Amino acid sequence: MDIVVCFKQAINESEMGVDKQSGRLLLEGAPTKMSEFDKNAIEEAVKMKELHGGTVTAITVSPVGAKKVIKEALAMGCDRAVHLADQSFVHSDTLVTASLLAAAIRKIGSVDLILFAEGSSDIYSCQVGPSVAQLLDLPQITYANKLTFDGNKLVAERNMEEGLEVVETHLPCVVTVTNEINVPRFPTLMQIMATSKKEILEWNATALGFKPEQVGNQGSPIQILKIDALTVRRKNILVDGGNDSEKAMNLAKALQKEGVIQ
Amino acid sequence: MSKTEREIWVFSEDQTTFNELLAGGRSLGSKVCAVQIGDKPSEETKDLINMGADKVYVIEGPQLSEFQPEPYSEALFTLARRERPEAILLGATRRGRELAPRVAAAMGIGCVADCTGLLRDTEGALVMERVAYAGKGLATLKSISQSLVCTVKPRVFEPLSSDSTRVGEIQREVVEVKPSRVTLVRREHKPKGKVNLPEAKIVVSGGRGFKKKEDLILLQESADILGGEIGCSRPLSSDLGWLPEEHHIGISGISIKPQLYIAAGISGQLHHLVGIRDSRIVAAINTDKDAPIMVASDYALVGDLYTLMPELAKAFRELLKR
Repeated sequence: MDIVVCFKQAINESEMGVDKQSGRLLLEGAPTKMSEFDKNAIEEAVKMKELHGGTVTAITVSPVGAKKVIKEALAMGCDRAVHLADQSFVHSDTLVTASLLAAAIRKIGSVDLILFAEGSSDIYSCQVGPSVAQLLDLPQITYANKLTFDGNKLVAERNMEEGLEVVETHLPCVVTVTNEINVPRFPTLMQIMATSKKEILEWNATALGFKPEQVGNQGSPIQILKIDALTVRRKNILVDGGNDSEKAMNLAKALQKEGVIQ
Repeated sequence: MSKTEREIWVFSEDQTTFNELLAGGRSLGSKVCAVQIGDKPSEETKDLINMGADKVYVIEGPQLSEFQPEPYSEALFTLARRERPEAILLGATRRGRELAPRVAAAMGIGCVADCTGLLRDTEGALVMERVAYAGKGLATLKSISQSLVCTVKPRVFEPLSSDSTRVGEIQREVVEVKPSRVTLVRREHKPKGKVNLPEAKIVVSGGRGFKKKEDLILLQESADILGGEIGCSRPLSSDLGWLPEEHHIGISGISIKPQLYIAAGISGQLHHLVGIRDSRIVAAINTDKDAPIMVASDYALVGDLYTLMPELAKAFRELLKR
Protein backbone atom coordinates (compact mmCIF):
# COMPACT_ATOMS: atom_id res chain seq x y z
CA MET A 1 0.00 0.00 0.00
CA ASP A 2 1.55 3.28 -1.06
CA ILE A 3 0.51 5.95 1.38
CA VAL A 4 0.82 9.72 1.40
CA VAL A 5 0.38 11.55 4.68
CA CYS A 6 0.00 15.32 4.62
CA PHE A 7 1.09 17.35 7.62
CA LYS A 8 1.56 20.95 8.62
CA GLN A 9 4.06 23.08 10.41
CA ALA A 10 1.56 24.96 12.54
CA ILE A 11 1.93 28.06 14.62
CA ASN A 12 2.44 27.23 18.28
CA GLU A 13 -0.61 29.16 19.39
CA SER A 14 0.29 29.01 23.06
CA GLU A 15 3.38 31.12 22.43
CA MET A 16 1.99 33.79 20.12
CA GLY A 17 2.58 37.45 20.84
CA VAL A 18 0.30 40.45 20.50
CA ASP A 19 1.18 43.81 18.98
CA LYS A 20 0.42 46.23 21.81
CA GLN A 21 -0.42 49.16 19.51
CA SER A 22 -2.82 47.50 17.08
CA GLY A 23 -4.05 44.67 19.32
CA ARG A 24 -3.35 42.25 16.50
CA LEU A 25 -1.78 38.82 16.77
CA LEU A 26 1.84 38.65 15.65
CA LEU A 27 2.21 35.94 13.02
CA GLU A 28 5.64 36.87 11.70
CA GLY A 29 8.28 35.11 13.70
CA ALA A 30 5.74 33.19 15.80
CA PRO A 31 7.14 29.87 17.04
CA THR A 32 6.05 26.77 15.13
CA LYS A 33 5.54 23.07 15.82
CA MET A 34 4.06 20.06 14.11
CA SER A 35 0.27 20.43 14.15
CA GLU A 36 -0.76 18.19 17.09
CA PHE A 37 -3.36 16.07 15.29
CA ASP A 38 -0.99 15.41 12.37
CA LYS A 39 0.95 13.03 14.59
CA ASN A 40 -2.14 10.78 14.61
CA ALA A 41 -2.25 10.84 10.80
CA ILE A 42 1.45 9.96 10.56
CA GLU A 43 1.08 7.19 13.16
CA GLU A 44 -1.85 5.70 11.24
CA ALA A 45 0.10 5.83 7.96
CA VAL A 46 3.08 4.05 9.51
CA LYS A 47 0.83 1.45 11.19
CA MET A 48 -0.91 0.74 7.85
CA LYS A 49 2.45 0.28 6.19
CA GLU A 50 3.65 -2.05 8.94
CA LEU A 51 0.51 -4.18 8.47
CA HIS A 52 0.18 -4.13 4.70
CA GLY A 53 3.62 -3.26 3.32
CA GLY A 54 4.36 -0.45 0.90
CA THR A 55 5.73 3.03 1.48
CA VAL A 56 4.83 6.20 3.35
CA THR A 57 5.58 9.59 1.83
CA ALA A 58 5.05 12.60 4.06
CA ILE A 59 4.20 15.89 2.35
CA THR A 60 4.12 19.37 3.80
CA VAL A 61 3.57 22.82 2.33
CA SER A 62 5.80 25.35 3.99
CA PRO A 63 7.47 28.40 2.51
CA VAL A 64 10.17 28.53 5.15
CA GLY A 65 11.95 26.25 7.59
CA ALA A 66 10.03 23.08 8.36
CA LYS A 67 13.26 21.07 8.63
CA LYS A 68 12.48 20.12 12.21
CA VAL A 69 8.94 18.92 11.58
CA ILE A 70 10.04 17.02 8.46
CA LYS A 71 12.68 15.20 10.53
CA GLU A 72 10.01 14.47 13.12
CA ALA A 73 7.75 12.86 10.49
CA LEU A 74 10.67 10.79 9.16
CA ALA A 75 11.67 9.72 12.67
CA MET A 76 8.12 8.48 13.29
CA GLY A 77 8.57 6.05 10.40
CA CYS A 78 7.79 7.79 7.11
CA ASP A 79 10.12 6.57 4.34
CA ARG A 80 10.63 9.90 2.64
CA ALA A 81 9.38 13.44 2.70
CA VAL A 82 8.36 15.93 0.05
CA HIS A 83 8.74 19.54 1.07
CA LEU A 84 6.64 21.88 -1.07
CA ALA A 85 8.82 24.89 -0.50
CA ASP A 86 8.60 28.24 -2.19
CA GLN A 87 8.61 31.76 -0.81
CA SER A 88 5.60 32.46 -3.03
CA PHE A 89 3.49 29.99 -0.98
CA VAL A 90 3.20 32.45 1.93
CA HIS A 91 -0.45 33.14 2.92
CA SER A 92 -1.91 30.44 0.68
CA ASP A 93 -5.51 29.69 1.70
CA THR A 94 -7.02 26.22 1.98
CA LEU A 95 -7.85 26.00 -1.74
CA VAL A 96 -4.31 26.88 -2.86
CA THR A 97 -2.77 24.61 -0.20
CA ALA A 98 -5.00 21.75 -1.37
CA SER A 99 -4.14 22.48 -5.02
CA LEU A 100 -0.41 22.30 -4.23
CA LEU A 101 -0.82 19.01 -2.34
CA ALA A 102 -2.99 17.55 -5.12
CA ALA A 103 -0.36 18.51 -7.71
CA ALA A 104 2.37 16.89 -5.62
CA ILE A 105 0.34 13.69 -5.22
CA ARG A 106 -0.26 13.57 -9.00
CA LYS A 107 3.47 14.03 -9.52
CA ILE A 108 4.23 11.13 -7.15
CA GLY A 109 1.94 9.00 -9.30
CA SER A 110 0.41 5.86 -7.89
CA VAL A 111 -0.95 6.42 -4.39
CA ASP A 112 -3.44 4.14 -2.61
CA LEU A 113 -4.25 6.03 0.55
CA ILE A 114 -3.95 9.71 1.40
CA LEU A 115 -4.14 10.53 5.10
CA PHE A 116 -4.76 13.82 6.85
CA ALA A 117 -5.57 14.84 10.40
CA GLU A 118 -9.19 15.90 11.01
CA GLY A 119 -7.96 19.50 11.16
CA SER A 120 -4.90 21.52 12.07
CA SER A 121 -4.27 22.52 15.67
CA ASP A 122 -3.87 26.22 14.87
CA ILE A 123 -6.66 26.95 12.38
CA TYR A 124 -8.83 23.80 12.56
CA SER A 125 -10.78 24.52 9.38
CA CYS A 126 -10.82 20.79 8.44
CA GLN A 127 -10.96 21.82 4.76
CA VAL A 128 -7.74 20.68 3.11
CA GLY A 129 -8.30 16.89 3.18
CA PRO A 130 -11.75 16.94 1.52
CA SER A 131 -10.52 19.63 -0.94
CA VAL A 132 -7.67 17.36 -2.05
CA ALA A 133 -10.17 14.49 -2.43
CA GLN A 134 -12.32 16.63 -4.71
CA LEU A 135 -9.36 17.91 -6.75
CA LEU A 136 -8.12 14.35 -7.31
CA ASP A 137 -11.68 13.02 -7.84
CA LEU A 138 -11.34 10.57 -4.94
CA PRO A 139 -13.80 9.38 -2.31
CA GLN A 140 -13.29 10.69 1.21
CA ILE A 141 -13.85 9.50 4.74
CA THR A 142 -13.53 12.21 7.40
CA TYR A 143 -13.28 11.93 11.21
CA ALA A 144 -12.14 8.28 11.15
CA ASN A 145 -11.80 6.83 14.65
CA LYS A 146 -10.74 3.41 13.45
CA LEU A 147 -9.39 2.22 10.12
CA THR A 148 -9.01 -1.35 8.83
CA PHE A 149 -8.05 -2.71 5.44
CA ASP A 150 -8.88 -6.31 4.50
CA GLY A 151 -6.86 -6.36 1.27
CA ASN A 152 -9.86 -5.23 -0.72
CA LYS A 153 -11.99 -2.77 1.21
CA LEU A 154 -11.12 0.01 3.58
CA VAL A 155 -13.52 0.11 6.53
CA ALA A 156 -13.72 3.12 8.84
CA GLU A 157 -15.57 3.96 12.02
CA ARG A 158 -16.51 7.60 12.18
CA ASN A 159 -17.34 9.59 15.24
CA MET A 160 -20.25 11.83 14.19
CA GLU A 161 -22.35 14.21 16.29
CA GLU A 162 -25.32 11.87 16.26
CA GLY A 163 -23.39 8.68 16.86
CA LEU A 164 -21.05 6.12 15.41
CA GLU A 165 -21.06 5.47 11.68
CA VAL A 166 -19.31 2.61 9.88
CA VAL A 167 -18.50 3.16 6.20
CA GLU A 168 -16.44 1.34 3.58
CA THR A 169 -14.82 2.12 0.26
CA HIS A 170 -12.21 0.90 -2.19
CA LEU A 171 -8.78 2.44 -2.58
CA PRO A 172 -7.59 4.95 -3.61
CA CYS A 173 -9.20 7.15 -1.01
CA VAL A 174 -8.63 10.21 1.18
CA VAL A 175 -9.10 9.70 4.92
CA THR A 176 -8.94 12.25 7.74
CA VAL A 177 -8.35 10.77 11.19
CA THR A 178 -9.27 11.90 14.69
CA ASN A 179 -7.10 12.46 17.72
CA GLU A 180 -8.54 9.26 19.24
CA ILE A 181 -7.58 6.81 16.45
CA ASN A 182 -4.20 5.95 17.98
CA VAL A 183 -1.44 7.04 20.31
CA PRO A 184 1.42 8.49 18.26
CA ARG A 185 4.80 6.90 18.94
CA PHE A 186 7.80 8.70 20.33
CA PRO A 187 10.73 8.08 17.99
CA THR A 188 13.77 6.39 19.51
CA LEU A 189 17.22 7.94 19.28
CA MET A 190 18.09 5.33 16.62
CA GLN A 191 15.07 6.37 14.55
CA ILE A 192 15.99 10.02 14.89
CA MET A 193 19.58 9.25 13.78
CA ALA A 194 18.31 7.21 10.81
CA THR A 195 16.43 10.20 9.37
CA SER A 196 19.66 11.58 7.95
CA LYS A 197 19.68 8.71 5.42
CA LYS A 198 16.08 9.31 4.31
CA GLU A 199 15.23 11.23 1.17
CA ILE A 200 13.78 14.75 1.40
CA LEU A 201 12.59 16.11 -1.94
CA GLU A 202 12.02 19.81 -2.40
CA TRP A 203 9.51 20.95 -4.99
CA ASN A 204 8.87 24.60 -5.75
CA ALA A 205 5.98 26.27 -7.58
CA THR A 206 7.52 25.66 -11.01
CA ALA A 207 8.13 21.97 -10.28
CA LEU A 208 4.44 21.65 -9.43
CA GLY A 209 3.35 23.55 -12.54
CA PHE A 210 2.18 26.73 -10.81
CA LYS A 211 2.91 30.33 -11.72
CA PRO A 212 3.71 32.73 -8.85
CA GLU A 213 0.40 34.56 -9.28
CA GLN A 214 -1.53 31.30 -8.80
CA VAL A 215 -0.23 30.67 -5.28
CA GLY A 216 0.22 32.47 -1.98
CA ASN A 217 -1.77 35.55 -1.16
CA GLN A 218 -2.11 36.48 -4.85
CA GLY A 219 -3.64 33.19 -5.91
CA SER A 220 -5.89 32.70 -2.89
CA PRO A 221 -9.61 33.46 -3.13
CA ILE A 222 -9.74 34.05 0.63
CA GLN A 223 -7.87 37.13 1.83
CA ILE A 224 -7.05 37.85 5.45
CA LEU A 225 -7.98 41.43 6.33
CA LYS A 226 -6.75 41.25 9.93
CA ILE A 227 -6.36 38.98 12.93
CA ASP A 228 -7.26 40.68 16.22
CA ALA A 229 -5.99 39.20 19.46
CA LEU A 230 -8.81 37.82 21.56
CA THR A 231 -8.05 38.32 25.19
CA VAL A 232 -10.22 37.21 28.04
CA ARG A 233 -9.58 38.95 31.33
CA ARG A 234 -9.98 36.71 34.34
CA LYS A 235 -9.63 37.62 37.98
CA ASN A 236 -7.12 34.89 38.84
CA ILE A 237 -8.06 34.71 42.49
CA LEU A 238 -6.55 31.80 44.39
CA VAL A 239 -9.17 30.59 46.86
CA ASP A 240 -7.69 30.12 50.34
CA GLY A 241 -8.75 28.19 53.40
CA GLY A 242 -7.44 26.10 56.27
CA ASN A 243 -8.88 22.85 54.95
CA ASP A 244 -10.86 21.54 51.98
CA SER A 245 -14.17 22.24 53.66
CA GLU A 246 -13.22 25.86 54.32
CA LYS A 247 -11.80 26.34 50.82
CA ALA A 248 -14.99 24.96 49.26
CA MET A 249 -17.14 27.25 51.40
CA ASN A 250 -15.01 30.26 50.47
CA LEU A 251 -15.44 29.47 46.77
CA ALA A 252 -19.18 28.99 47.15
CA LYS A 253 -19.44 32.33 48.98
CA ALA A 254 -17.40 34.10 46.30
CA LEU A 255 -19.66 32.67 43.59
CA GLN A 256 -22.73 33.78 45.50
CA LYS A 257 -21.29 37.29 45.78
CA GLU A 258 -20.74 37.28 42.02
CA GLY A 259 -24.44 36.54 41.67
CA VAL A 260 -23.86 33.48 39.51
CA ILE A 261 -25.45 30.97 41.90
CA GLN A 262 -28.79 31.32 43.58
CA MET B 1 -25.93 48.45 3.51
CA SER B 2 -26.25 47.91 -0.20
CA LYS B 3 -28.42 45.08 -1.40
CA THR B 4 -27.27 42.63 -3.95
CA GLU B 5 -29.32 40.91 -6.60
CA ARG B 6 -27.30 37.74 -6.33
CA GLU B 7 -28.67 34.84 -4.36
CA ILE B 8 -27.43 33.52 -1.04
CA TRP B 9 -27.88 29.76 -0.87
CA VAL B 10 -28.46 27.83 2.30
CA PHE B 11 -28.25 24.10 2.99
CA SER B 12 -27.89 21.95 6.06
CA GLU B 13 -28.63 18.32 6.83
CA ASP B 14 -29.71 19.54 10.27
CA GLN B 15 -33.06 21.36 10.46
CA THR B 16 -32.19 23.70 13.35
CA THR B 17 -28.99 24.74 11.61
CA PHE B 18 -30.90 25.17 8.34
CA ASN B 19 -33.31 27.60 10.04
CA GLU B 20 -30.45 29.57 11.60
CA LEU B 21 -28.76 29.89 8.21
CA LEU B 22 -31.98 31.09 6.55
CA ALA B 23 -32.11 33.86 9.16
CA GLY B 24 -28.43 34.56 8.49
CA GLY B 25 -29.05 34.91 4.78
CA ARG B 26 -31.88 37.34 5.42
CA SER B 27 -29.68 39.44 7.72
CA LEU B 28 -27.40 40.03 4.72
CA GLY B 29 -30.25 41.65 2.79
CA SER B 30 -30.11 39.21 -0.07
CA LYS B 31 -32.50 36.92 -1.87
CA VAL B 32 -32.26 33.77 0.23
CA CYS B 33 -32.59 30.42 -1.48
CA ALA B 34 -32.87 27.17 0.43
CA VAL B 35 -31.50 24.08 -1.27
CA GLN B 36 -33.37 20.93 -0.48
CA ILE B 37 -31.71 17.69 -1.51
CA GLY B 38 -33.29 14.23 -1.59
CA ASP B 39 -34.49 11.31 -3.66
CA LYS B 40 -38.20 12.17 -3.47
CA PRO B 41 -40.40 15.24 -2.97
CA SER B 42 -40.53 16.32 0.64
CA GLU B 43 -43.32 17.94 2.61
CA GLU B 44 -40.89 20.30 4.26
CA THR B 45 -40.45 22.60 1.25
CA LYS B 46 -43.07 25.08 2.44
CA ASP B 47 -41.53 25.02 5.94
CA LEU B 48 -38.32 26.42 4.46
CA ILE B 49 -40.29 29.31 2.97
CA ASN B 50 -42.07 29.85 6.29
CA MET B 51 -38.66 30.03 7.98
CA GLY B 52 -37.31 32.71 5.63
CA ALA B 53 -36.49 31.29 2.18
CA ASP B 54 -37.51 33.43 -0.80
CA LYS B 55 -37.02 30.47 -3.06
CA VAL B 56 -36.39 26.75 -2.66
CA TYR B 57 -34.35 24.73 -5.11
CA VAL B 58 -35.55 21.17 -4.74
CA ILE B 59 -32.84 18.89 -6.08
CA GLU B 60 -34.02 15.35 -6.67
CA GLY B 61 -32.10 12.34 -7.81
CA PRO B 62 -31.90 8.61 -7.11
CA GLN B 63 -28.40 8.91 -5.60
CA LEU B 64 -29.54 11.49 -3.06
CA SER B 65 -31.56 9.35 -0.65
CA GLU B 66 -29.14 9.87 2.21
CA PHE B 67 -26.36 12.31 2.98
CA GLN B 68 -23.04 11.36 1.40
CA PRO B 69 -20.45 14.04 0.65
CA GLU B 70 -19.74 13.00 -2.96
CA PRO B 71 -23.28 13.02 -4.47
CA TYR B 72 -24.47 15.88 -2.25
CA SER B 73 -21.52 18.09 -3.17
CA GLU B 74 -21.96 17.22 -6.84
CA ALA B 75 -25.64 18.15 -6.67
CA LEU B 76 -24.75 21.48 -5.07
CA PHE B 77 -21.85 22.46 -7.31
CA THR B 78 -23.61 21.37 -10.51
CA LEU B 79 -26.47 23.76 -9.78
CA ALA B 80 -24.21 26.47 -8.33
CA ARG B 81 -22.02 26.49 -11.46
CA ARG B 82 -25.14 27.34 -13.47
CA GLU B 83 -26.79 29.79 -11.06
CA ARG B 84 -23.65 31.41 -9.61
CA PRO B 85 -24.93 32.36 -6.16
CA GLU B 86 -22.98 35.01 -4.26
CA ALA B 87 -22.41 32.59 -1.37
CA ILE B 88 -23.40 29.12 -0.22
CA LEU B 89 -23.92 28.85 3.54
CA LEU B 90 -23.61 25.43 5.18
CA GLY B 91 -23.61 24.48 8.85
CA ALA B 92 -20.28 24.00 10.62
CA THR B 93 -21.31 20.48 11.57
CA ARG B 94 -19.09 17.52 10.78
CA ARG B 95 -21.18 16.83 7.67
CA GLY B 96 -21.17 20.49 6.66
CA ARG B 97 -17.40 20.56 7.07
CA GLU B 98 -16.95 17.62 4.69
CA LEU B 99 -19.35 19.01 2.12
CA ALA B 100 -18.16 22.63 1.94
CA PRO B 101 -14.56 22.03 0.77
CA ARG B 102 -15.67 19.65 -2.00
CA VAL B 103 -18.11 22.22 -3.37
CA ALA B 104 -15.53 25.01 -3.15
CA ALA B 105 -12.69 22.97 -4.66
CA ALA B 106 -14.90 21.79 -7.56
CA MET B 107 -15.80 25.40 -8.34
CA GLY B 108 -12.33 26.78 -7.66
CA ILE B 109 -13.76 29.29 -5.18
CA GLY B 110 -12.95 30.34 -1.63
CA CYS B 111 -14.16 28.55 1.45
CA VAL B 112 -14.26 29.87 5.00
CA ALA B 113 -14.92 27.33 7.74
CA ASP B 114 -16.56 27.88 11.12
CA CYS B 115 -17.69 31.48 10.64
CA THR B 116 -18.72 33.22 13.84
CA GLY B 117 -19.76 36.36 12.03
CA LEU B 118 -21.05 37.16 8.55
CA LEU B 119 -21.73 40.74 7.50
CA ARG B 120 -21.40 43.24 4.67
CA ASP B 121 -18.81 46.00 4.49
CA THR B 122 -19.63 49.55 3.38
CA GLU B 123 -19.34 48.49 -0.27
CA GLY B 124 -21.71 45.61 0.25
CA ALA B 125 -19.06 42.90 0.02
CA LEU B 126 -19.33 39.90 2.34
CA VAL B 127 -16.96 39.87 5.31
CA MET B 128 -16.44 36.77 7.43
CA GLU B 129 -15.16 36.42 10.96
CA ARG B 130 -13.77 33.26 12.50
CA VAL B 131 -11.79 32.31 15.57
CA ALA B 132 -8.23 31.24 14.82
CA TYR B 133 -5.17 30.03 16.71
CA ALA B 134 -7.20 28.06 19.24
CA GLY B 135 -9.13 31.08 20.43
CA LYS B 136 -6.23 33.50 20.54
CA GLY B 137 -7.28 35.44 17.48
CA LEU B 138 -10.34 36.63 15.60
CA ALA B 139 -9.66 36.64 11.87
CA THR B 140 -11.57 38.93 9.51
CA LEU B 141 -11.64 37.60 5.96
CA LYS B 142 -13.06 38.39 2.57
CA SER B 143 -13.33 36.50 -0.67
CA ILE B 144 -12.15 37.68 -4.06
CA SER B 145 -13.58 34.74 -6.00
CA GLN B 146 -16.89 35.12 -7.86
CA SER B 147 -18.66 32.86 -5.37
CA LEU B 148 -17.90 31.66 -1.88
CA VAL B 149 -18.72 28.77 0.45
CA CYS B 150 -19.00 29.31 4.21
CA THR B 151 -19.69 26.98 7.07
CA VAL B 152 -21.33 28.82 9.94
CA LYS B 153 -21.07 27.89 13.61
CA PRO B 154 -24.27 27.00 15.46
CA ARG B 155 -26.23 29.85 17.09
CA VAL B 156 -24.46 32.63 15.19
CA PHE B 157 -27.91 33.47 13.87
CA GLU B 158 -31.23 33.22 15.66
CA PRO B 159 -33.92 31.39 13.60
CA LEU B 160 -36.90 33.54 12.53
CA SER B 161 -40.32 32.58 13.79
CA SER B 162 -42.25 30.47 11.35
CA ASP B 163 -44.65 32.53 9.24
CA SER B 164 -47.11 30.48 7.18
CA THR B 165 -48.24 33.57 5.24
CA ARG B 166 -44.83 33.96 3.62
CA VAL B 167 -44.72 33.15 -0.08
CA GLY B 168 -41.81 31.87 -2.08
CA GLU B 169 -40.91 30.29 -5.35
CA ILE B 170 -40.26 26.56 -5.63
CA GLN B 171 -37.96 25.39 -8.42
CA ARG B 172 -37.54 21.67 -9.04
CA GLU B 173 -34.27 20.42 -10.46
CA VAL B 174 -33.30 16.92 -11.49
CA VAL B 175 -29.54 16.65 -11.24
CA GLU B 176 -27.65 13.60 -12.46
CA VAL B 177 -24.92 12.74 -9.99
CA LYS B 178 -22.54 9.81 -9.69
CA PRO B 179 -23.20 7.35 -6.87
CA SER B 180 -21.14 7.63 -3.69
CA ARG B 181 -18.04 5.49 -3.70
CA VAL B 182 -18.21 5.39 0.08
CA THR B 183 -21.05 3.21 1.33
CA LEU B 184 -22.70 3.16 4.71
CA VAL B 185 -22.40 -0.13 6.58
CA ARG B 186 -24.28 0.87 9.72
CA ARG B 187 -25.13 3.74 11.98
CA GLU B 188 -25.46 3.56 15.74
CA HIS B 189 -27.44 6.51 16.94
CA LYS B 190 -26.47 7.56 20.40
CA PRO B 191 -29.50 8.21 22.53
CA LYS B 192 -30.00 11.94 22.35
CA GLY B 193 -30.06 13.48 25.79
CA LYS B 194 -32.11 16.47 26.72
CA VAL B 195 -29.00 18.46 27.51
CA ASN B 196 -28.68 21.89 25.94
CA LEU B 197 -25.26 23.05 27.07
CA PRO B 198 -24.99 26.12 24.80
CA GLU B 199 -28.02 27.63 26.57
CA ALA B 200 -27.14 26.45 30.10
CA LYS B 201 -26.66 29.12 32.77
CA ILE B 202 -24.36 26.91 34.84
CA VAL B 203 -22.05 24.18 33.54
CA VAL B 204 -20.08 21.87 35.84
CA SER B 205 -17.46 20.10 33.82
CA GLY B 206 -14.88 17.33 34.22
CA GLY B 207 -11.71 16.17 32.51
CA ARG B 208 -8.85 13.72 32.76
CA GLY B 209 -8.68 14.22 36.53
CA PHE B 210 -11.60 11.80 36.83
CA LYS B 211 -10.50 8.19 37.29
CA LYS B 212 -13.68 6.41 36.28
CA LYS B 213 -17.07 7.06 34.72
CA GLU B 214 -18.99 6.47 37.96
CA ASP B 215 -17.13 9.34 39.60
CA LEU B 216 -18.87 11.84 37.31
CA ILE B 217 -21.62 11.75 39.94
CA LEU B 218 -19.42 14.33 41.69
CA LEU B 219 -20.20 16.75 38.83
CA GLN B 220 -23.85 15.79 38.68
CA GLU B 221 -24.31 16.45 42.40
CA SER B 222 -23.25 20.11 42.17
CA ALA B 223 -25.00 20.57 38.82
CA ASP B 224 -28.26 19.32 40.34
CA ILE B 225 -28.00 21.64 43.33
CA LEU B 226 -27.25 24.66 41.12
CA GLY B 227 -29.70 23.76 38.37
CA GLY B 228 -26.90 23.38 35.87
CA GLU B 229 -25.74 20.87 33.28
CA ILE B 230 -22.62 18.73 33.13
CA GLY B 231 -19.96 19.05 30.46
CA CYS B 232 -16.52 17.62 29.76
CA SER B 233 -13.28 18.08 27.87
CA ARG B 234 -12.57 16.02 24.75
CA PRO B 235 -10.96 12.90 26.29
CA LEU B 236 -14.05 12.05 28.37
CA SER B 237 -16.46 12.05 25.42
CA SER B 238 -14.39 11.25 22.35
CA ASP B 239 -11.77 8.93 23.80
CA LEU B 240 -13.32 7.30 26.86
CA GLY B 241 -16.96 7.66 25.80
CA TRP B 242 -18.11 8.44 29.35
CA LEU B 243 -20.40 11.22 28.13
CA PRO B 244 -22.15 11.77 24.75
CA GLU B 245 -20.56 14.17 22.23
CA GLU B 246 -23.10 16.90 23.02
CA HIS B 247 -21.29 17.38 26.37
CA HIS B 248 -17.91 17.92 24.71
CA ILE B 249 -16.79 21.54 25.08
CA GLY B 250 -13.95 22.87 22.94
CA ILE B 251 -12.75 23.62 19.43
CA SER B 252 -13.99 20.30 18.02
CA GLY B 253 -17.08 20.23 20.24
CA ILE B 254 -19.44 22.96 21.36
CA SER B 255 -18.98 26.48 22.66
CA ILE B 256 -20.85 27.61 25.76
CA LYS B 257 -21.67 30.94 27.38
CA PRO B 258 -22.86 30.23 30.92
CA GLN B 259 -22.93 32.62 33.87
CA LEU B 260 -20.76 30.12 35.74
CA TYR B 261 -18.38 27.46 34.49
CA ILE B 262 -16.85 25.08 37.00
CA ALA B 263 -13.96 22.97 35.67
CA ALA B 264 -12.88 20.02 37.80
CA GLY B 265 -9.83 18.01 36.81
CA ILE B 266 -9.49 19.78 33.46
CA SER B 267 -5.97 20.92 32.60
CA GLY B 268 -7.23 23.61 30.23
CA GLN B 269 -5.60 23.07 26.85
CA LEU B 270 -6.30 25.96 24.44
CA HIS B 271 -8.59 23.64 22.47
CA HIS B 272 -10.83 23.40 25.51
CA LEU B 273 -10.51 27.06 26.56
CA VAL B 274 -11.79 28.29 23.18
CA GLY B 275 -15.15 26.70 24.03
CA ILE B 276 -15.54 28.44 27.41
CA ARG B 277 -14.25 31.91 26.58
CA ASP B 278 -17.71 33.47 26.74
CA SER B 279 -18.36 32.18 30.28
CA ARG B 280 -18.96 35.03 32.73
CA ILE B 281 -17.21 33.43 35.70
CA VAL B 282 -14.84 30.48 35.53
CA ALA B 283 -13.96 28.49 38.66
CA ALA B 284 -11.32 25.77 38.40
CA ILE B 285 -10.39 22.89 40.66
CA ASN B 286 -7.07 21.25 39.95
CA THR B 287 -4.24 19.58 41.84
CA ASP B 288 -1.73 21.58 39.80
CA LYS B 289 -1.76 25.28 40.65
CA ASP B 290 0.11 26.02 37.40
CA ALA B 291 -2.32 24.18 35.11
CA PRO B 292 -3.45 26.41 32.21
CA ILE B 293 -7.06 26.28 33.44
CA MET B 294 -6.00 27.97 36.67
CA VAL B 295 -4.58 30.96 34.79
CA ALA B 296 -7.73 31.07 32.66
CA SER B 297 -10.05 31.15 35.66
CA ASP B 298 -11.53 33.77 37.97
CA TYR B 299 -11.39 31.51 41.01
CA ALA B 300 -8.81 28.76 41.35
CA LEU B 301 -9.06 26.08 43.99
CA VAL B 302 -5.94 23.96 44.39
CA GLY B 303 -6.56 20.43 45.56
CA ASP B 304 -7.97 17.01 44.89
CA LEU B 305 -11.36 17.10 43.18
CA TYR B 306 -12.29 13.85 44.93
CA THR B 307 -12.35 15.62 48.29
CA LEU B 308 -13.15 19.15 47.10
CA MET B 309 -16.19 18.39 44.93
CA PRO B 310 -18.19 16.76 47.78
CA GLU B 311 -17.22 19.67 50.06
CA LEU B 312 -18.28 22.13 47.39
CA ALA B 313 -21.66 20.40 46.99
CA LYS B 314 -22.08 20.59 50.76
CA ALA B 315 -21.21 24.31 50.76
CA PHE B 316 -23.69 25.01 47.93
CA ARG B 317 -26.43 23.18 49.84
CA GLU B 318 -25.71 25.05 53.04
CA LEU B 319 -25.45 28.45 51.40
CA LEU B 320 -28.46 28.07 49.12
CA LYS B 321 -30.50 26.22 51.77
CA ARG B 322 -31.19 23.18 49.57
